Parts: sequence; structure tokens; C-alpha cells
Amino acid sequence: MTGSSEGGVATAPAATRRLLETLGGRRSRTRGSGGRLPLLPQLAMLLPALALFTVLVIIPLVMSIVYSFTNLDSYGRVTSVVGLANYKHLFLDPNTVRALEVTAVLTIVCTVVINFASVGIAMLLNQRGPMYNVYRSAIFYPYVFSALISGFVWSAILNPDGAINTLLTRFGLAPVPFFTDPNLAVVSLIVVTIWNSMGFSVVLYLAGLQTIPQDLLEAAEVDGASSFQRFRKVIWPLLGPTVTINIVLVSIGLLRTYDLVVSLTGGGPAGQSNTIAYRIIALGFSSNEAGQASAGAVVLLLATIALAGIVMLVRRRTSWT
Amino acid sequence: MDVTVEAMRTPVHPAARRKKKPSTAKRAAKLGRHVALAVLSVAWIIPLYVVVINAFKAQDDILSDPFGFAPGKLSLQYLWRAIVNPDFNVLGSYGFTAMLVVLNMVFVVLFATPVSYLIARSVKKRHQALLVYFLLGTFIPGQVILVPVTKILLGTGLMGSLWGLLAFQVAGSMPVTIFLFVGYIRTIPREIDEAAEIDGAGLFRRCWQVIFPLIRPIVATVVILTGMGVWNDFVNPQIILGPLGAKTVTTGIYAAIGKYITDYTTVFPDLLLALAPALIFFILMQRNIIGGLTAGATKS
Repeated sequence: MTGSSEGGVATAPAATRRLLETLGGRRSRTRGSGGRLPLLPQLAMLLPALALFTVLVIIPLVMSIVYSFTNLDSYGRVTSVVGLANYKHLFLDPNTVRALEVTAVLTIVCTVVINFASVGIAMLLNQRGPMYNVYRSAIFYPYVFSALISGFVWSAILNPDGAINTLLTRFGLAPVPFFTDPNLAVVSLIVVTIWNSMGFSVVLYLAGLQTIPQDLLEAAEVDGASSFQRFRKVIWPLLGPTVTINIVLVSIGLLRTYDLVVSLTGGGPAGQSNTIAYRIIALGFSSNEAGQASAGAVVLLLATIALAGIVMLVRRRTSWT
Repeated sequence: MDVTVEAMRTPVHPAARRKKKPSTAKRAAKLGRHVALAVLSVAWIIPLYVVVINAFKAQDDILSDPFGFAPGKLSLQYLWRAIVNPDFNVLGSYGFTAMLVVLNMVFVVLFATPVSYLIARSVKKRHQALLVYFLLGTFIPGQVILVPVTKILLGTGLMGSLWGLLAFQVAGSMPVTIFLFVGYIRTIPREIDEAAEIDGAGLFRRCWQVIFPLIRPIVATVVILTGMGVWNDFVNPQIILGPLGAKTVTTGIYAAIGKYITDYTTVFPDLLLALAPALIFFILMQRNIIGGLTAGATKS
């Protein structure tokens, strides 16, 4: 039971080893902990987090999956097992189908735009100087605002009598129905999402760029690489892991867009700009359709897992480094 | 890659030496960079400018000239009216949300630290499986589980209470927090807590008195992430506390704006008050926020 590895001590930094010898007065019997840990304190350390997470995340997840195959009464009691009927209703309900479309468009467009723009902006920002800090702050600050409040800010600006339309009419142009045209409402969602969350990607890419050794870029320049070649052959491959992380984080976040819909468009006009997350909450809490809401939840969950899986897979295949 | 590094070490290429002074092309590129970034920055700041400036203007001025800045016409009365508005107790919502944030920070760190310590230090399969179990949580959107969560909270009598909301938020923070903590603790040499063990420190003391002081940087990251998440959370307080329950800044503004949507002299001051704490936090803590976010994302 003394554990076997002398190796642990041998590879320990000299200072730590000295510390060990002074403190212990003997060479330590390095061991993998865990096996020797007393059970009771272990449980005491695990239990709060484990119990809370299990009761309020994992069990609800299982319940959601179960609910999606059942009918529930208005008290939330399961009345009958209905198989795939909830899913069928879901995909026949034009509001939900539209919500799935809107979510897909929003996720794809914003992920693509945010990532392309952020790499470009981060490259521009990757310079020393006080002005660059100002630019970075200006692009990043909306990220600290809740999506809900950002949506209210923009709804006050894009309203029929809001700032933008006031300006347009003053120049003799026709006002733009940002919220009453179904497709423009989705465009508004996209624009505000980009305003609200692009800063996160920019600072992430900036951090990624700053880990690229300057020597490497200078060397490439000396070797006569054009700026495009430097980007394509040096920066891009080294930025690879950041790109993967960013795409996964941004797209998974976008799939669950909810707050912004509430405050910016209210899902309107006539449900034409609601997202799947918005639809789940509406079905589950306003219309008391817990079964259908759960089916929607399972769809959202599967989409999240599929998206993360696809991105990881594609990135692994095409990594150049 | 080695080849290029070598190239750099060789004496400077004549073509590079000639480029000591910035060429016209380089200066043009620099100018272009500033122009592009300045335009973008201004575009990004305009919404904030509109909120700030219109929070001090009368309805007619807002409608006729939303971008205008006429110092003589500005007034503090709208902001004051928003502060004392009985329908939206702004200061109360600051206090309540701040309390919720602090409670979240305390419990997230209190619960996640010991579990992460065990996982990070154990070589047992079951502890590694535990990590995977917690990480499942990162793929579960909150809306997916909210309907059953309300049933569970109803069953335990925690629906509509601060503690129910807190419990759900803390549970939701566990995956990311544990993931970051485990990763960080693993970079701390095992010999440190083994030395403490030889000195007779038990599991709890090793966790809280030896390791915890060493993981402060990642605790700071988690505190910032949790703080921003809870301060900005809307759907959870809205559903769990209910429309008649205590108001956070987000649920409070939601209730207030819904009522006054066409009265800009209420909307803009309310928005300014809702944005102000986040904005001040950003101005004071910018470096830490960006550092924390980057650490949080790149460690994963």
C-alpha cells in the first residue's frame, strides 16, 4: 500500500523535494491518492456539488426526455404515454418549424460572421498603443450587458419612432419596419446578436494571436512571405485551437438564444422571429404544453450535441499543424 | 517550422535591412487600420450614446432629434423619476441582484473546490468518470431542463424563493467551474499537498488551507464568470421567482419596460440605470474580465 513510484519523487522539482525532506524528515512515499483517502471526508467533499448537480440538472434532463414521450395534465402529472406524438405535433406546428428555421439561420449566420469578422478585427487590433486599447474596449463592452437589456436598447433604437427611423425620415427615406416584417425581424436579431457578443470572440482571437511568437512572423517576412502567406501558413495554423473553441462556444450559445428574442422582437410579428429556446419556454410555461416543450428541449439538446460533435470532427480532420 | 526559426537567426537579410524606415505603404496600412477600427468603434458605441443622451431629454426632443446633444435642454428629472418609480425599484433590484451574485459566488466556490480537488488528485477511474459526469452539464441548455426543474422546486417548496433560484444557478455553474478548477489544480505539484499530508494535514485542510490559496487566479476567473452570468440572468429568475416575486435588474426592467414601452422618458432612464452597474464594472475591471473570459475559454 505504500505506492510504488519512486518516479514521482525523482521527477519532482529539486526545490519541492527539498521542501518535502525538510518538512517530512523522510523521503515521501509518493502515492496516487484516492485509494487511501478516507471514505467519509471524501463523501462530504463530493456530496454537495454532486447532489445539487444531479437533482437540478441530470434528473431534470432525464425527466425532460421522459416527458417528451408523454402527455401531462396542467398540474404537471404524466397522464399517458404517447410515443412520438409530441415530436410529430412539434414538427407540424408552423410556429415551431419557423422557430427551428430562425434558430438555424441565426446560429449559422452569426457564427460565420462573428468568427470571420473577429479574426480580421483581432488582426487589426494586435498592435501596441493606447488607441488600440480604446478600440478594443469599444468593441468589447456590449458583452458585459445582458442580452435582455441589449435587446431593449436596440428596440428603442429600431422602433418605428426610434432613432434610426427618425433619421431615415428626416433624409426623406421610407422608415424600415425592423420588427413588423418577419424576415427583417430576424435580421434585427442577427445584427443585435453580433453587436452584443462579437467582443468575446475578438478578445479570444486577440489572445490567440498574442501567443504566436513574433519571431516566426518576422522570419516568414524575411523569407519573403506575402502578408496573405504569413496569415495562411503561420497565423492560421497556430490559431487553429482558438478557432475550434470559439466556433463551439459561439454556436452553442447561439442555439439557446432566448433573452434577446424576448426583449427585441417578442418573437413577433406573429411568432415569425421566435427561436426554439423561446418556443420551449412559451410551450412549457404559457401554453402548458409540457410534453411538446420537452420534445422541443430534446431537439435543442440533440442539436447542441451534434453541432459540438461536427465542429470538433471537422476541425480535427482539417487541422494542418 | 524549425526552418523558419532558423532563418530568423541567420544574419538579417539585406531586403529586411532596407526596411528600417516605415515605407509609405506601411504608413498607409497603419492609417487604414486606424480608420477601420475607429469607424467600427463609433458604430459600436452609438447605441450606448443614444441611451445615455436620451436619458436626460424630454419626449419631444427624443422623438425629433434622437442623436442630438443640446446641453441646455438636458435635465436630471427623468433619471430621478426612474429612480423613485414605484413600479420599478431600481436600487432595490441592484441590492437584490448583488446579493444573489455574492451568494452564487460563495456557494459555487464552496461546493466546487473540494470536488475538484478530489478529482484532480485522484487516479481512480470513478473520480475521472465523475468529471465526465459534471462535464455533461456544459452541453445542456438551461431551457432544456427548466420545465422539470420547476416541478422539482415546487415539490421541495423552493419554487418562488431565492434559495430555489440560487440552488439552480449554483448547480448550473458546477460544470464549467469544476472543469476549470480541476485543470488548474492539476498544474500544482502534487508534492505540495503530500508535504502537507506528511505534516498531518487532513483532506479538508489540504484542500482549503494548502490548495485553495494556490488556485486564487482561477477562483477569480470563476467569480467573474459567475458574477456576470448571474447578474445578467433573466429566464431563471423570471420563471423561478415568478412575475410577482422579487425583482433582479433584468426581470425588473422587463416588467417596467413592458409597461412604458412608448414613453421614452421612462425607457431610456430605466435602460441607463440597468446598464450602469455593468458599465462601471467593465470600466473598473476590464483587464480582469477579459483575462478571465480568455482563461475560461482557452482552458476548456
